[in-house]
Amino acid sequence: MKLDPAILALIKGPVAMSVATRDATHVPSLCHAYGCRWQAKEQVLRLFVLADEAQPLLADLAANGEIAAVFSDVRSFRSLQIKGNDGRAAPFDAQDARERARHYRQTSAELVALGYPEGPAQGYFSAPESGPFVTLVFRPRDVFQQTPGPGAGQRLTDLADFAAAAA
Amino acid sequence: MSEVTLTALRASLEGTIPSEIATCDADGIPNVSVISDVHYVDAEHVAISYQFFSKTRANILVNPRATVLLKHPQTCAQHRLHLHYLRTESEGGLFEAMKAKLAGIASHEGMAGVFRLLGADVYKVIRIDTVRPDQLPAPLPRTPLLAALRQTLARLAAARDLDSLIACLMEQLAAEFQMPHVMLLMSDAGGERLYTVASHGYPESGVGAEILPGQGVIGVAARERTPIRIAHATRDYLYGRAIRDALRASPLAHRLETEIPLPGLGHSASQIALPLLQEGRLLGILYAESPEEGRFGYDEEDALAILAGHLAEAICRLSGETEEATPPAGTARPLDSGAPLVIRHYAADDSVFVEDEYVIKGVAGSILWLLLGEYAKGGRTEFSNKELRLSPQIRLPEFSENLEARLILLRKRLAERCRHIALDKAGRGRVRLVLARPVQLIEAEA
Repeated sequence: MKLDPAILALIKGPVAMSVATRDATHVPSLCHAYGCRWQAKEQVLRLFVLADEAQPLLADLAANGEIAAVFSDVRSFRSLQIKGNDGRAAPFDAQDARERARHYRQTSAELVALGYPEGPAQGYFSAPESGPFVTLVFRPRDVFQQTPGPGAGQRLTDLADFAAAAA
Repeated sequence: MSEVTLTALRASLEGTIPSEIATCDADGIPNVSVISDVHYVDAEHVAISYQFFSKTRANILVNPRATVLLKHPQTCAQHRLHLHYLRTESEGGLFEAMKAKLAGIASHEGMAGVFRLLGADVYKVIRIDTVRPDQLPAPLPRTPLLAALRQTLARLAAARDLDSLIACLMEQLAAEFQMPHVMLLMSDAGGERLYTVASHGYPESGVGAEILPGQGVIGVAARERTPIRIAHATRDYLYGRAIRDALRASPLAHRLETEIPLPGLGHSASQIALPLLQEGRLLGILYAESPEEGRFGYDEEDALAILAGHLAEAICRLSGETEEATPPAGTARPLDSGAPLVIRHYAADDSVFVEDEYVIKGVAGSILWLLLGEYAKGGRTEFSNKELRLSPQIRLPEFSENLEARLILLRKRLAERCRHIALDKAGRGRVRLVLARPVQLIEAEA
């Protein structure tokens, strides 16, 4: 599915990102993601994780491809979840690296602006330049409203729903 | 490397940084969601707030396995907790402690009114993975709590009477624990209300101020017999509001002058209340607050809970104070000349007014009225605690006979409100009424 501009604006903003997978016995695993980018041509979402932190997730994806990622705006807590079933690991490329660095600067600056001390604000989203990073790639199958509240978990079938829910 | 324990990760369980939880449904589709509170229950269990019937909740009911990603608010370490859902609690101590904490977090995140706790989902912690080690050094503890506790317990153990015990407690909390804004409240008959016997760090002592169980941080801790802690200010638990609500509902609402305002910080950001329990019975509440957010963490709660336990024992030990073998003669001292003080008593609530100014009510009010009456009849000024305890005029609750605490309350109220009447200690287990002017006693109509 194609991601709506309102969704792309949110996931490109100052957001905390986490990604989840599950193993053959349906035990879930999760880790932090350090940035993402949307490849419009291929209609796939690319999420950047540290290989060390994502070990169990990489094993899960190799086995079954089920993946879910949550994006939560650090200021407003507006959140959404994107799911797919063809998740796979791919090389972390130069464009991924630029986007990761941009996301780090933007999100840590936003936390400092919110009053968090500089050390932790940078620490939450920082990762060693050398990684090693891996990119998790998947085609979005479903998008869910995830902002805390009674509407959390609703499927956004019409993508205008999200813009409306976020307003 | 030694295995990390859940107890060592409690700073990551304060709700300072939101966590994420991953679950999986029966079809094998994973779900990940942001959660505001993972609560430490004990060394092997956590509880997660259940606020809405979310996908997470639907999933754990069919597949109890969950994984949570925790972030340390200072060191930025990350840990994965592998969990197994056990049960949901929708009342009791754990539920109330989480409800209070959540109200604080919701207020902090500008979501008051959105967060409402329906239950505390309790999980067993199966395994903990260190995802990333400390990125920053852990901050030094502000106060060496064990050292403060050791010194304080030694001093409390040396106290010879309730007065000095309470004074010592207030001093130690300010000096050693660096908690300068504290109150001690004692429980009234059957825990129906709490009254303030001492405070530290407020412009007005508020001694005699009352609070009802269930209201504010103090009242909820009293009702649930469990520590309640809030790391961020929240309107839901402000005791000022609790008191106003209580007042409106009170049958004595028309007698507002008998309500003593509870002291409190104008900008209280962190609050903690701990019950003083003796064999399950509520003796009182130890309360501390701070203008600083996140001032009281799990470690402070542990230290204050131990202190509260020792304090409860010491209060019981000193409340049965025995009298001196030979009581000194209780004769009236010559009074200063002057017009008689007009003192009114209202039997409905045992409130006592001196020259139209409210002084005290309740059991402490009935004690003052008895002493004044005995003085007026025969000039007696000295009384034993035992005779007060046995007097049918003083309605002491059968199972919480904290007469000494009421005498302290009465003594402090007189010292603050009435310069012509004082209550002194007259040896062990005895009190002396000191009057600077003659008195005229009037039993007033309600």
